[in-house]
Amino acid sequence: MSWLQRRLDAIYAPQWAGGWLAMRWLWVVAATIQHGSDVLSIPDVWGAPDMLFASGPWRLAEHIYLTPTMAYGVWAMTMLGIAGVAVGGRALRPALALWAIGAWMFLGYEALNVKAHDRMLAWISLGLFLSPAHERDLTHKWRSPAPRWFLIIVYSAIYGVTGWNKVLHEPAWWTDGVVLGQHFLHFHHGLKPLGIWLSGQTWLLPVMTLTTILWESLFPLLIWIRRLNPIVLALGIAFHSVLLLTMSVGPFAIVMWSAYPVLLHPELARALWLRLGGRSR
Amino acid sequence: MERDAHTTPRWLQPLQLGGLTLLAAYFLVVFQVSLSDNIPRWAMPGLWQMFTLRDPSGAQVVASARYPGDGAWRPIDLPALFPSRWGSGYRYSRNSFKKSRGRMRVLAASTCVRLEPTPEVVRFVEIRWDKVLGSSERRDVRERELIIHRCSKSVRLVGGRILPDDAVTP
Repeated sequence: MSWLQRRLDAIYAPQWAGGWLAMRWLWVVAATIQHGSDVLSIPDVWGAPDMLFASGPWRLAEHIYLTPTMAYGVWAMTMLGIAGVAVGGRALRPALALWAIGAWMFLGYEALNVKAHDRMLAWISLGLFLSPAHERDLTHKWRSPAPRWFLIIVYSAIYGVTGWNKVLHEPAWWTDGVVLGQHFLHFHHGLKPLGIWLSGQTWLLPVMTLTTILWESLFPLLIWIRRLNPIVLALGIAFHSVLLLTMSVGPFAIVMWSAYPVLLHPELARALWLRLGGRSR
Repeated sequence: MERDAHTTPRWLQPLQLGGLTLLAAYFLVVFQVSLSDNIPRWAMPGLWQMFTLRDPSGAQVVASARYPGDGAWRPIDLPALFPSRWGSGYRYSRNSFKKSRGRMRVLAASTCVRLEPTPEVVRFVEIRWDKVLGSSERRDVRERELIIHRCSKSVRLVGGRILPDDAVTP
């Protein structure tokens, strides 16, 4: 056996797959929160005869005109896809495809507002599609680490790039915390009572700012280190919780958390599972 | 009992690693181009910029209507007329929307269609103010007109439909 093959065997050693089970259920919760209430917006958005737009690659309205009935049909297809993911097993992959068609038809038709959590859910769903999440009894199984690596790369991109963009685009992020304070006061996604209060805490803002930038920028490196891996994810839970309490950014937090059970080092995840009373052979 | 354990077949491992390396390289290249002013379309799926820049001022879009035989501008309850809002605000509240004359024209024509009775003219204004840390106070409030639209004027939508002719109030 060659040296290279031995190295590949070592890094491709099967890992505990129970995290994919938790991720599948969190995905169902996140996707339901993200798309469930869209039905209330159909008369105003997707089934409306006015307010039709096309921009960038989103040009569906140039080719299709959705009546309210058609829009309800697309929404039902999206929700059926989510239900299929909940069922799991052989239904998982076709259900993810169904969800993707419905969800992105709506985004492509609206053409105004493809948000970070829309794109992130798409990347996470691709990871779920490539994963062993379609198998049963995953808490008793060990599978390839590659789908987990895929998600780590995607998460490293979103956190790392966001952090480094702050560092390189806006040097003021490093100084007094004013940038963060100003975002807490955004007319649409800010102005929550906690955010208003925090924006005036000149001693706390620099600490929050520095923690945010360091965590985001170093995530791509620290997530791989087993000893630091759970700390990095715990900081992620704290980071998104503060965001949830201070800003209206839709289901961003739950979308981001949905893959955390897989991002957690598989042996640590298994230990947590056993400690919670779960069984694993 | 033996563990149920298996991994990627050996023949597939180099290809899989190659694919993951390409994915990481794509994100790195996107990050590189995101530092420039001209961001290509292929970079969009991997572009992440959130709360990056200073945002010292707040902004809100308000609208008013003038009816036939009445010279006064009457305020329009825009959130009631276009109720859907995403995390980042109403559909018309993003800067990219406000900067687009074409989109503002569609919003104005849609406002004419949705209002009962139909006004003669609608007017959209952006109110902007300086934020004050620690409070929701608005300092140095100023206004900028975005569009004035005569409701009798036709506006062509994407896909070829025309407002107000092809509109049915939702």
